[in-house]
Amino acid sequence: MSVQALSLLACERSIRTTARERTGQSAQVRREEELIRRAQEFDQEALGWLYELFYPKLYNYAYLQLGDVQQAEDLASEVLLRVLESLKGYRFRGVPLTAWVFRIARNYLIDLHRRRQRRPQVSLYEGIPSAEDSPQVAAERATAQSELRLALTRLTEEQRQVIILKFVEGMDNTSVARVLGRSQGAVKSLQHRALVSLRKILSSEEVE
Amino acid sequence: MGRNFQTILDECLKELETGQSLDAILARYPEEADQLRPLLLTAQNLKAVPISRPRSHVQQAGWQRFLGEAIALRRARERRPSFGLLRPVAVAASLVLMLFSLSGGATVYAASLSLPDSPLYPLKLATEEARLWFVFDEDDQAGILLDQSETRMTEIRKLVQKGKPVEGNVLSAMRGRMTRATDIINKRDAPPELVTRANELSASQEEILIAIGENVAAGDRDEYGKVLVVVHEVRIELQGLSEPARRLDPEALAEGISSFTGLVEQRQDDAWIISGTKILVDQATIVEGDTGEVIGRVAQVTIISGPGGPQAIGISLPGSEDLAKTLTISGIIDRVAGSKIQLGGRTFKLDASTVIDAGSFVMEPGVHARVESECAEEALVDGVCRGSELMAKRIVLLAPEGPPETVTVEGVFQGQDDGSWIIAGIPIDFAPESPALVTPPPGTLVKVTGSQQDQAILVATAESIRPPEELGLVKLEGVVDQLDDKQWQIGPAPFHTTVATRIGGELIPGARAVVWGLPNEDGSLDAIHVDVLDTRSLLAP
Repeated sequence: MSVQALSLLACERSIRTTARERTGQSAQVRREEELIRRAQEFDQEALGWLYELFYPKLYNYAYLQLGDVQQAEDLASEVLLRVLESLKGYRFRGVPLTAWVFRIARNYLIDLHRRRQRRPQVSLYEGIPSAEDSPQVAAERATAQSELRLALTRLTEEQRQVIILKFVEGMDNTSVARVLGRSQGAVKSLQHRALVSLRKILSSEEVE
Repeated sequence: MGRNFQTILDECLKELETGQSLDAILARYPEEADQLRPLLLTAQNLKAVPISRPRSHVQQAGWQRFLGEAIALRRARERRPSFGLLRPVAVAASLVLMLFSLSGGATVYAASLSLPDSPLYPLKLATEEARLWFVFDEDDQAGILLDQSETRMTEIRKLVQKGKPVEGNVLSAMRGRMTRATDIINKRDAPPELVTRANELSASQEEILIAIGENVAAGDRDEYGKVLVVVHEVRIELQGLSEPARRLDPEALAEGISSFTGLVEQRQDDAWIISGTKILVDQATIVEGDTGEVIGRVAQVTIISGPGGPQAIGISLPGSEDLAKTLTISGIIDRVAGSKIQLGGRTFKLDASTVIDAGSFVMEPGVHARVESECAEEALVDGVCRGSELMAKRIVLLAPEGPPETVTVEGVFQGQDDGSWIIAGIPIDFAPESPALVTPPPGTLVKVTGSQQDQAILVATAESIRPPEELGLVKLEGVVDQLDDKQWQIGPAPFHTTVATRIGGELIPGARAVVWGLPNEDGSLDAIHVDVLDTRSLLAP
């Protein structure tokens, strides 16, 4: 993806944490804690919240790495089933739910890559756009995403995880560290190297 | 500068998150502005990548499946009777008795040979359970439970050998049996031999579980963390150490364990400095070996990520004699038969305590392997191994590389016997066509590479990795990660390569490697000799 193209998109979407949002965070954490407790008791409304919150995030996370719509959907479904099975054992204890869910997702993805190495698969669903998209929006999205996916394939696995988890999924260093099983210092180091590499890759693509 | 810059970059990224303008942020770091700008722009642009959305009808179908599974789980929980512990036993009893009556015992026999991925495996566990009903002596019960727990280790080894994932059923069965055995041992004065056996078994189990971390199925990481906690705490209890004040967190163990070998620089009550890395210790840390004077000694450390930094769960201080009796042979596996493998003209025997680091490979003929072995004690005569088989302590499976007949032998040279070199107590013969070799001083760590000719090696290269007088040389072993062009790390320990570093293979992030080097004052290591074991990254692409 060209740096220029991304810069234009950046103007359209900037992420701001307002003071109002910050004051509402503790109430949000308490609400999240209550919803998890209810989900552990199989309350349908709480399970619906969990599913609606994570299915799209997991899909996006998987699609960026697999580049295959159907496999990304399968991963989102399978990971959420594993989350459901293990949810009873989840305790807050400083591990954010998002980090816990994405750790399961990353492990699933690692297993999937191992299986793929042994038994390569050919996708029939590469790049199917969402039915809700207009052709122009779908085309822009596909271009930006496919360029990013291509660039991500040239990073190491951990660098790729840091880029996706931090800059696409919006996690903080603590959560990224928990997903990767690394220290926060290691995450900072990985983040630096990942951005340097990505910059080089994207700049070279722009020149070409 | 590297580390400071990483911190500055991180601060800038946080400021960018709060909506501050790029120019305002860069104005606060004028010296680093040129370096920061492109990276912050890249980060800003990443935020702009459109989110990919799933197809709504697929998401909806997934929700129906999710909800169905939730309802099934809730019903299963509601049906569970309050006498939960008795239920599996009752089920086991009826299952075993029914199958005995229907099949005349043939199915039960077939089940006894099954592995955890077989549909007959639950029957195998049930049969084991039934065996305990007729044992009334508690010491005997504990002994049988330890046998069964050891059987789980063999099953795990066989799964890993075949390249299959280790699933939760075998891990939970190991945990259950180990817990029950130690409950019996702890509540009364058990015979010392039973305590010793449980202690040795739990130590082996911990070593094997750490080695197979990558082979555990993703959905079974929680069970993996739980069984590791059990075997670790069993070790603490049985060694007569106090109850751990801090219980280990299964989640932290499930997240990943790494180990490295370094030089002890400082020892404080709550932390050790090992090769420049601060490693936290507490009552849950098991320290093994001679712990008298530790400064300047080599330590093998097993660590997990803790909130305050790397936390040691084990520190081993091996004596020089431990290194001296280990012979490492690398080459292509010629044959795998039952619990034996042949490689480099030698036969290696595997037992329940043999650790297999399979990476993503299967243990089969044609696969490249590195076997750490030693002579069986009964085969040692006057310090020289006279047995035909060696005991495999650790097997690392590698991608095939180089000509198939290439074999490498590594160990401490001890002298000559009838023309053979004695390395790690084991006679190594060289083919008559081999070039004349300079005999190294005893105590030298040597590495000989050549091709296999019957029982002998036609030597291509022979090198001294570590002269006996060279003190303070440190060995790191594990998966490497690249920091920059010349700087790498294994676990938390960084190492540098220089023009003088001898590198066997190509250093690739994600490959396994063995690094010998000298520690610097800043805690990093100047690599003298690097053996890269893999030709490609083991991490997912």
